Amino acid sequence: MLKQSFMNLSRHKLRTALSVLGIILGVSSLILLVSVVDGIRLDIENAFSKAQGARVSSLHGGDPVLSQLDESWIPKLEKIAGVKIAVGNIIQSTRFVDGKQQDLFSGPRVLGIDVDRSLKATSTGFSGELLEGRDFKSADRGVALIGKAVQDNFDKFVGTKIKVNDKSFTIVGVYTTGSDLIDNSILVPIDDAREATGFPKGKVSYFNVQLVNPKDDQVVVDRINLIYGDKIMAQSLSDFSSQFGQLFDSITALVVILASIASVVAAVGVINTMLMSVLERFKEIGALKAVGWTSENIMALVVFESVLVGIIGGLAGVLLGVALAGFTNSFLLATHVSTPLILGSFIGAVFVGLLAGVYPAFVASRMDPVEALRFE
Amino acid sequence: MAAAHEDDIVIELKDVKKIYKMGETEVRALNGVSLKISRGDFVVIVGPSGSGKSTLMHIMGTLDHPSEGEVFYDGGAIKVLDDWHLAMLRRKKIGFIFQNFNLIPTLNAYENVMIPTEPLSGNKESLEERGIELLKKVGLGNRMLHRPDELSGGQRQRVSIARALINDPEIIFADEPTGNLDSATGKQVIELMYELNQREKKTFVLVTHDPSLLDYASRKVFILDGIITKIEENGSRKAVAKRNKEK
Repeated sequence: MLKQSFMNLSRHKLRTALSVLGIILGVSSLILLVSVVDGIRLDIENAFSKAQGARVSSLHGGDPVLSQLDESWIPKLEKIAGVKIAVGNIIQSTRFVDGKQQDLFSGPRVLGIDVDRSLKATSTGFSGELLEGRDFKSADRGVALIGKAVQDNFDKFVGTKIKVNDKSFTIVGVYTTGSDLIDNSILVPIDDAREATGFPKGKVSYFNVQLVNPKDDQVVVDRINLIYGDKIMAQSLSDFSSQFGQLFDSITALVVILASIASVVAAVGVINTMLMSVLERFKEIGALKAVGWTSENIMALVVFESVLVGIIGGLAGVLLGVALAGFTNSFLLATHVSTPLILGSFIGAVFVGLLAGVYPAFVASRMDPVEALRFE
Repeated sequence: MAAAHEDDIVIELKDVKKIYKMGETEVRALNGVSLKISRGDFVVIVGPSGSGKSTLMHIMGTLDHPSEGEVFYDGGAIKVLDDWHLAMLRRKKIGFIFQNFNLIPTLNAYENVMIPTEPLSGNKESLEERGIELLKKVGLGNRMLHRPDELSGGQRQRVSIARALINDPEIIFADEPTGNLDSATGKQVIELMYELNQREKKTFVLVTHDPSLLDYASRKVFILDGIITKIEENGSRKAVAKRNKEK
């Protein structure tokens, strides 16, 4: 039956190829999209998994770029039991780097760090690893640490200059967090950040709060929110990764819904192909019945052909999807192709083939054998 | 000779009618046909087009159901059988040869012969040997791997004869088996069927409008306007003698 099915499909190679293509596109786009989402998710989880402590931002500071807080919060925060030190940070998007206009979302961000205070902290919530050069020193000015992504995108290294908006910095170090997203930052002393971005003096975007005992993060966060919850918002950094997790779950669900729509379109293509193939073979199918094939045998043949379309499309789609994800990973952004994703997409494609074959198979099984004998 | 087979009847039709309704008018394709086919018969049913001969064959071959009357196989009424059991009956007892061959164009001669065995499970080794043997018997031992479009009309019809025989049926129906062939090739094909009838005692029922096929018949059935007008018992020995005389 395998050969028979295969030969039936090869009668109209272009037509079969087009319906296979429908499945290939569905499967490969699903793999590509989910691998991108998974890649970003993994990235962020990695970056945050080492982070400890809490972050305090303004009430509407869901996006830290929009948050603004007065430095006068530092003594108030440090008075709260369990808080060791609060370090102000500024985060702003860049408008120009080396005179070139930057995209609001994909361009690098400037991260202003209160160097003197952060040197007192043993952990600042930032979990980067220095690749080259050195970390900030006390009273550093006009220097920058750049993330690996910035180094790659702007072709920089230690000792060269980088111009953020109108202010020039000497690069003293290159770091990585393992996350392209977070590595796309330029770290500078906080006052330099204010000069470069026009961020008001005496204000910060948020505070990184280091705790006396990192395990108490939830307790301290609750304490801060209880006392000052009407003005500021504290979150433990471990919360961030779980928040991101929820966000990515919804994005994954959205992607899967899109892919399901693609599968339905692919299925319609397969139904059409199989139906045409069955209708033009009515004489043959009638003859098969005349020589003793049951309706079930005929159905099995047609469904088998359709499943074959699903298997071929699924295999080719997985290969193409993995290749596209690999290409994206090398040249654009981090992707992650998991085994369940590959298996799920392939099984889905076979299932689409199976379902799409049912109706044409039913039509074929109902064909009248007398038609096969009627002379045209 | 056929009369001696009276108690060895494969198929019996009792007052079979087939009525098609085309709008207001009724078309009586068969209007009360009774017929017995005995084991080893070589029955030729002759009639002009529209006489109902094809409908008769479809009903005898279990592909179509009569509007009235009954069909018996080995004495059992087949109207109690559902589609699945009818398929099993065809698989075990019936072979078909079609005017336009109805071979599967993508499969080679051998694979076409094996098609009726495709749904069978279990050991097919003996069937595979049988397929090769049958192709040799119909003179296509050197054409087994050729596809239908690489074969002549006569060769294709030989393939379909081998296909009709693969399940070792009791009875073989042939609908205008020579209709798509030139007269010389047609003669070879009909002689092959006649040989199978003589040597292996296979029952053949041929439907044709070509009276020259009557020469091979052990029974001649004439049909017109849905009614059998005449049945002639001929005796296959007589047919042989007649053919020999012609040579």
